[in-house]
Amino acid sequence: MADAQQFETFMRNYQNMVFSTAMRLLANQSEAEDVAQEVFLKAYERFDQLRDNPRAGGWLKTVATNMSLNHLSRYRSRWSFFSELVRRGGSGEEEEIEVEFAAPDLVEEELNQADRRRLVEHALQQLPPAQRVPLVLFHLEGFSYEQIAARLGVSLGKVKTDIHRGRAVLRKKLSRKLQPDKPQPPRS
Amino acid sequence: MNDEHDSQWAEVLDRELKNLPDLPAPDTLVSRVMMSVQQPASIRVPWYRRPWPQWPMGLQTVSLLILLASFGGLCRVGWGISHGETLTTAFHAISEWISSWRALGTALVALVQAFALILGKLGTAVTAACLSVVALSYVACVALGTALYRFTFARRPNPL
Repeated sequence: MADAQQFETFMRNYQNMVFSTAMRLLANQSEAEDVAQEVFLKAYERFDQLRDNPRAGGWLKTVATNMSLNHLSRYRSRWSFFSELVRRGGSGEEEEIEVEFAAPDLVEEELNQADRRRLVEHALQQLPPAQRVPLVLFHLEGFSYEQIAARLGVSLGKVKTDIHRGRAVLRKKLSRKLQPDKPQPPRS
Repeated sequence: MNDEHDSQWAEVLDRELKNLPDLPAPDTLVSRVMMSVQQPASIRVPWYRRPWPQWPMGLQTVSLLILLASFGGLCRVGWGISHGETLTTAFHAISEWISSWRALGTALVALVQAFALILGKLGTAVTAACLSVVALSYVACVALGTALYRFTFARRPNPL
């Protein structure tokens, strides 16, 4: 029972990190919670090695990332065909976007930190998986383009294109939301 | 100029993303995990990977009945052999059993032939139309299933 109490404390220390990792990759709260649960059940099996290990956080993050990616490939591939149809027919975000954006320094100044973070988080979760997943792996998990291509089983060119498009969509969304009343600066 | 803006934006975005705080995990996560953890290992492992005494009661009963029936069958065969029922008699019984299946096979072949005859009478156009209806029904089922999936598993509101 002492083990269970220690594990609960351990879990409370890391639950937000594990959940965030899954949530940013999956963009679905219930799926992220399921993955986080699986991660901690795995951790419980190795709790003897993890409890005093300073690298426990890194281990949990790696497992959460791998399990989220496995979850995506296992449960979503069969629906991707239809999802792509809807997206291409709907928002048109898959097409090349001519971006009207504010200069980054203006974006930074406009909102306070909490609001900006909320907007960034929300915009990130609205991205289609094909753009969000490589973007998160690159910026948040520190994967290289090559590692992302190998992990997702796609070409290096596709990874670069998806990340570029994801950034462009975020720039478009964030510059619109961050500066609703201001005219766009002239493009040079 | 665009390249310059792209790389500037990539840097800003990188900084923004890295500065994002962790999202709060749902309150239910700890209780869900602790509930699973405190269950005996036997419950977390699927039944077919557990020893027989830990199988569910229904499966234990069914497996026990199958085992007893197999044992009874073996005893019956052993008794028959020891009381003069030769192997020839056993083979005879088996061949009778197989011939009853042959009769069933013949009936199935006749049914398929009748179906082929009907298709031949209907003509190519009607057959193609029937196949099209079947294909369309299949596509409709898949589309309906997809729509239900997307409706059921629609994104939940952002936890922020």
